[in-house]
Amino acid sequence: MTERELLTQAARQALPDLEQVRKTCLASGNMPVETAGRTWARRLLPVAACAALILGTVAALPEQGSSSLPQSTQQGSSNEALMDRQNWEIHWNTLDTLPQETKMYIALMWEDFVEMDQAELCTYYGWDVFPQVPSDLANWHETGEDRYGIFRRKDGTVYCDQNVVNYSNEDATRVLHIALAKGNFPHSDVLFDTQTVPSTLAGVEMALGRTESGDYFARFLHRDVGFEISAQGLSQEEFLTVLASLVDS
Amino acid sequence: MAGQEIALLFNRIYNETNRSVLAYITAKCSSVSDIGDIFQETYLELYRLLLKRGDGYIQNPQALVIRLAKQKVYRHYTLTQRLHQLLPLEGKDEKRPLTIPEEAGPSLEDQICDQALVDQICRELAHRPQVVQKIFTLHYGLGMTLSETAQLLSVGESYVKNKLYRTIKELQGLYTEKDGDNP
Repeated sequence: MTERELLTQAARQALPDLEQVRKTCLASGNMPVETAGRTWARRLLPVAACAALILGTVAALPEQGSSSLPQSTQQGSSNEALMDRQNWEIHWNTLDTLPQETKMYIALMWEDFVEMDQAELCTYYGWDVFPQVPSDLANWHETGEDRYGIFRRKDGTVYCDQNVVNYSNEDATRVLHIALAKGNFPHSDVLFDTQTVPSTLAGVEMALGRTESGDYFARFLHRDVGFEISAQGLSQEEFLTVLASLVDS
Repeated sequence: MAGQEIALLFNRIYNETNRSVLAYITAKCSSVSDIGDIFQETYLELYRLLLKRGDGYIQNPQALVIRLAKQKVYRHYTLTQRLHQLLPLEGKDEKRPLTIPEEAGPSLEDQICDQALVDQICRELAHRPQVVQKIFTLHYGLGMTLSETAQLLSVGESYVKNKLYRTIKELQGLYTEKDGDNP
């Protein structure tokens, strides 16, 4: 084998088997059209729902910073409650990074999965847990890429009710990621240390963080639902507006 | 449109576009080990679209598939996609089976030695920076010229040459004998 053949063969190891991919795609056509997308979702949701038990330690935040409240009013929002920021107290804690997950396999049983639509999910959590988002962001649930629901045993015990709600613009350069669970914080790998300075929005205490690259993160409990929200590509103003739409709702 | 016709259309688009899509994904991914997943997701999405909307939906297959690839690359690296990586459908690190061609050629021993050497080169490459791995994948894996590789990676051609030849020189220690080693 010549040097070039060796290097070519080695370089091709990184590439997929074209015929295998072709067969996989064509085989997906044997399923109903809807389920082609769900195959992916099925793999995603159990894990997403269960960032639940994922514990790594990635981001922590030794530094703290605070910023004054945005003075400008929210353009395009008719909700006056969102503009009433007199009692807001915002402190941005510095994050090393947004949450990142490590490998972990969780035993969620699909036969226990109770799928829900948006309305049913709101009924389960007890209120409308979907925020107002910038108009260019679309909910992935609408494209079949996210599924909502809970995992409930036959005896009625709910053992996992963590859901993930994603929004993004068309090329996913602006992404909003919301993990929520009933009665407790969603499990994730962000650890705020004891030095974290809390913020208050509309009377709701929360931990806010941002990274040097301009990503935002929030964690709070409101009306018996725990939230962890992160945003990439959104402005600070947009992120705060998303939060305000939840705590004011 | 009947399923058979959709399959034929898919095959035609797949044949026409797979190389450019692979090149795009290779250039844009964070890790070359993600290429396979993103590539498959792209074409699964294409096939789903064809089934759902028929052939009339597609004006420019090349542009559509690149757009889908772009979307899949971005989404692959969002938070939930990182989660998605937790349950790989197939082991990315699984070694490909050793293939032994039936036709007359190098001996079985030579084949095994060559395969071992290829594996060794792969392991060495895996420790190089992503940009080096991308250069090798584009230039040797996909047969792009140095100029095309540089353009795809948005770097200078001299940079590509430098990285490529320097790495080859280092790799040569694996498969060339030093003077005096083998008189």
